[in-house]
Amino acid sequence: MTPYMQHEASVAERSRRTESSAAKAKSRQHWLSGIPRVVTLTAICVIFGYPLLWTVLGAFKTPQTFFSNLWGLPAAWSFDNFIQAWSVGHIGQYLINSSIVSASSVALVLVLSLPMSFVLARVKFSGSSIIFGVFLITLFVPLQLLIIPLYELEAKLGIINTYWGLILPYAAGALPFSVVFATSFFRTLPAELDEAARLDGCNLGQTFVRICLPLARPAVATVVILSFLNVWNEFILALTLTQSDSVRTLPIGLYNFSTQMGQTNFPQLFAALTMATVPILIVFLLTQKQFISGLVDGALK
Amino acid sequence: MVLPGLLLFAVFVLWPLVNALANSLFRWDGLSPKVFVGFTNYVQVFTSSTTWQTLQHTAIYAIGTSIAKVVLAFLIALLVARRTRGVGFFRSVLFIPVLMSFVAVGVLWTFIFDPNQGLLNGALGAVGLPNKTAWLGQPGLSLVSVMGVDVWKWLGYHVILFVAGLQAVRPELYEAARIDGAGRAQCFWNVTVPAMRTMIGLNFIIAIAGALNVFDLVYVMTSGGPDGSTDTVMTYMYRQAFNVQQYGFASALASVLFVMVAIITLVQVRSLRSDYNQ
Repeated sequence: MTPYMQHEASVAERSRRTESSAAKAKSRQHWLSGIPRVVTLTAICVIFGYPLLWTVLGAFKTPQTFFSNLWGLPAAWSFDNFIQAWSVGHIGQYLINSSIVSASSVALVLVLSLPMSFVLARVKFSGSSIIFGVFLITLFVPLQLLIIPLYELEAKLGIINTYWGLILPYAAGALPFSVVFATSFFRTLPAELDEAARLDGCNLGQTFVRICLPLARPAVATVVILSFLNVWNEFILALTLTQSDSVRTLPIGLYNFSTQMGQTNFPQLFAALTMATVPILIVFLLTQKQFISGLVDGALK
Repeated sequence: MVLPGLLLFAVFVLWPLVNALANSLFRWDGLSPKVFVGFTNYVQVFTSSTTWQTLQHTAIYAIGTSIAKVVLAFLIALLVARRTRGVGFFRSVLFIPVLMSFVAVGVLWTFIFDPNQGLLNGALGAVGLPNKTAWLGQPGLSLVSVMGVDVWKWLGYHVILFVAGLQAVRPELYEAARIDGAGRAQCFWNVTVPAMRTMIGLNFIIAIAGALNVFDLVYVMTSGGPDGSTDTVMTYMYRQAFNVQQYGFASALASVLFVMVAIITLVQVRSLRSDYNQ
């Protein structure tokens, strides 16, 4: 770890420990407080919240009443748009595809990166620092820039328009972050743990599975959250490497839906938008604390 | 335990990376065999006026959105770092766009920007302001409109990073400053801002690195139009590759963008580190 990363790690650490006391101290030095603060926050809330609320409400309106009742609540709550978008718009199929691709990519990233990170953190072998260095350097390579050679490669391998054609590059693209992040984490675990495990008769693999992996749960959560969010919303690879609705993921399905029939049927488009956003929103609400601290830790690395 | 991951990475990232650079030296339409042309593609890239136009748009986009994101997020974070009633709800609302895909955000805002039936003109009309603006339809305005949507989508993410940073500032610093007689403004400029320097830099890196290869939002909202006014390096590259099958030219363009991303990231990371070491 560089001094900079150590510093950042300690910042994240401290932020959790001193959250309440720091918040208390801060409350005395805000120049904006009281009514102006409340007004500002409410205004921001409207700018961010209203378009979202409006989308959901719009999804319940009928196409005939949509424009005459642009702002208010639907006159009669209708689920027709959802049903239509689900079946005619194939949103159901896209949801399944996105789930399969995202879950498989994340699982593959974990299976490949965690043991590798453990070994990189614990075993000194010739080339180990080179391997870590390669991942560190490629941390900032956007996968999207590789779209042409990826297309060429997948055409040769014959995996264009398959789930694997998305899962493999997604998992590979998520490796630099997860390896760098997990390796740094494993390095923070005291070496005495391994020592004790070895005395108890564990080999390296057993030490990893029984001792260190359970301790790495926060790091695993961060890797899962970040890679899942990226894969779930990824656009350009999915746009280029899929050709039929049986493989297309939600962002592509949504895009096609909006260009084909969305222009004529806004409520149905909004129903599709709502259904595409709800799954990840549920994941977020269920794991809110972990989700946020995962994002923060991930960014600070 | 290391090999499987390394193999996947080599095949799907390292090999394409090498190929991306190699492809830029060939003329290639995807069907007939590749023809080696040396640096011809790069000459074409740098002599094409569209390249300079898209580079300019990308630079404006990256600088504009990252400054807006960092400044606004910092100010909002100051407002919500304190835990009072409703702050949790506020943070969640601000965070929902972060979870949405660029496609969902783009589709939603295309409708909000609709000149005739859109929400934005409707709201402006309701308070008596001009309400016929074609937000995405005017070359002078379209890029700024798309940039605004990008800021809208990512603001919550930067707010959360800043909140974490603010909460990590040691309370002793504020106490010491107050004992020395510092007022609120002085506390802000002499304690909060210096303590947050690394955090501000980090947010800039994240924002700029993300914005340099902006593609999704532009593709969904304007496809680079009207009249090329929102065309970015990535959308230009994509069109050259997958619409007109100029893969060599597009690869050269991608390589140029890649070098830009690499240089900017390296420079920023280095300056952050020297910042810390001072």
